[in-house]
Amino acid sequence: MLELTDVHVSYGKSKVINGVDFSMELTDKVALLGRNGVGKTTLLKSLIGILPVESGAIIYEGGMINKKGSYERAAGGIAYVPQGREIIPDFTVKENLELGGISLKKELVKDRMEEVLTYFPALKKHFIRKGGVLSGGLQQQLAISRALMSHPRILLLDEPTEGIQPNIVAEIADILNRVHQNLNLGMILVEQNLNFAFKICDSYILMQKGQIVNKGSRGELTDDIIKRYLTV
Amino acid sequence: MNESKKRMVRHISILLIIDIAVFLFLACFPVFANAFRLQIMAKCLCYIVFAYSLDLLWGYVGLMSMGHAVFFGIGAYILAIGYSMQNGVPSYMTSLGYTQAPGIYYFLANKPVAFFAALLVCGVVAGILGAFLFSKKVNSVFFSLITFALARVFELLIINQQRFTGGANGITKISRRLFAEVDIPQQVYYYILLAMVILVYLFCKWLTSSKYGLILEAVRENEDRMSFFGYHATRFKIVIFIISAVLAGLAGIMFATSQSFIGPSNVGIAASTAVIVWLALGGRGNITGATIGTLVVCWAESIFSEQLTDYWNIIYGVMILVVVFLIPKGIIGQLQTAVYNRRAERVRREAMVENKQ
Repeated sequence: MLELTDVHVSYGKSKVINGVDFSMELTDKVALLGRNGVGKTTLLKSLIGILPVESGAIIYEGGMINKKGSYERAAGGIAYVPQGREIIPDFTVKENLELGGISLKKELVKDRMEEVLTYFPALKKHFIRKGGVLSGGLQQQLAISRALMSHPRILLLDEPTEGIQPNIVAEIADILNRVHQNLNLGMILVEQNLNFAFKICDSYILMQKGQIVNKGSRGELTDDIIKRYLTV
Repeated sequence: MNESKKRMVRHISILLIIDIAVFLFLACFPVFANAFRLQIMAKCLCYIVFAYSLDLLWGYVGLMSMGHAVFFGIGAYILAIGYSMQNGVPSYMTSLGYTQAPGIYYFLANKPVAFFAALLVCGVVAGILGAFLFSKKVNSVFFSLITFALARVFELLIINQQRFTGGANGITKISRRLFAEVDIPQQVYYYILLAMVILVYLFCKWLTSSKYGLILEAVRENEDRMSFFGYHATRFKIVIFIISAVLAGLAGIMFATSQSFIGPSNVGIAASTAVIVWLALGGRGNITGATIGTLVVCWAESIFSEQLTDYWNIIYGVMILVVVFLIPKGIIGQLQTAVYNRRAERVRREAMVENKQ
């Protein structure tokens, strides 16, 4: 289980997350929605440990992880796919994937790579090409597959459809659903594209001004709520 | 062939040819060189190891130490002190009227102890400094500035503590006897140095082509990203700093024994910046560039200092400007780019022909 209790996060003196409470099972798929600048990415960054939590508690699988470094959280099963993908452009697909398998024994890396690539057949064709020369869609697939290398329990995805053509977006949604079905891992998906978000997620959390203002299941997101919290 | 070896082959196939050619040349050098030239080349061999040590740090992790000669100096001085204790209290102490050496010096009088103590102290100093700097998230610019200041402090310490270090005169008459009590001929000693260079080279190639090397390069690109990949980037930086410092210390040991001398000019800011120029000229992040850059600058210095003594510093300055403006990746880096572009062009043409068909 992942549980956040009264979490506050700031950039210097500017408070960005202002008392967030929420909890989810590590098999849930939750869309984190909101307009630009409401603190969605900041919340993900504080979950993975890139940004420190000022006060409150992040409890993961029964233990408080506030003081843990991001490398410890990653080793503990929290995988992060950041906005902009953050693959290593000068490394090949294979090398990028190898780096993802830190928790694996050397002899298991190859097997895991093959297992992960069954979800991403397009990536397999570009195995020895440098990440930087791949298309945006393939780079996104590489970022997700890299995150899956370490057998995560929960996947944090920050706008995976940003800058990607529609047919690839649909493909990524299918892949993520298959990944969830087969690996039974949790997902928190920050997304602007509602169609994409609800192709994957069963529930949502809505943020505004650093706080959660609404949450519910997919069917509970009414036009009125969308108009009030999501449209510009 | 395992994955690590495949990566190694892909990265270094062209470089390997250059490396083998250079090492063959170095192995044949004593056949046609006189004793004076051989002594200069022996010095170059020590400097090559020194350049390798900085290349691991600067070329692979992006940390430009501007005080790396401190570790070169620690290695050289500890060994020199141990060797100078062979006949009792060193001459630089007796000439100042001291009849008793500090207690630790007697401990260093055992040559193997001095050798390993020299390497150990380099590692410990780097470990403490690295743990302090990297855990405080000191960025690469401040790392350079702090190490620069460290080099100045170390140089002044050596000069001012004449009783313990020989001061500005340094420590002379360091024997080439190593652990045995037999004088080793200059040519044999040259080959011992060359063997050490090749061993360090192989170690660096193995390290940088392993998964560890891959992680180091990834840390250089973006440290934060590596942390959410699950890597404790700070630990990797500390470990490579220690390895780099120990290799610099080894280079210092090789230098002190081969040149029979170590002085403040070899351990301060000038020496620290010289190794940066060798790497910048040769190209960093591939080990081969360290060999080439060191050989080119050392021999240019030697030849121009003999023929055009007054102009060497001007020529040196011009060399640095040429590197900065014309070959910012260094000789080997530029060569790699040219080869890569040629291959890319060939692939592009082949693809065009295929498309037409």
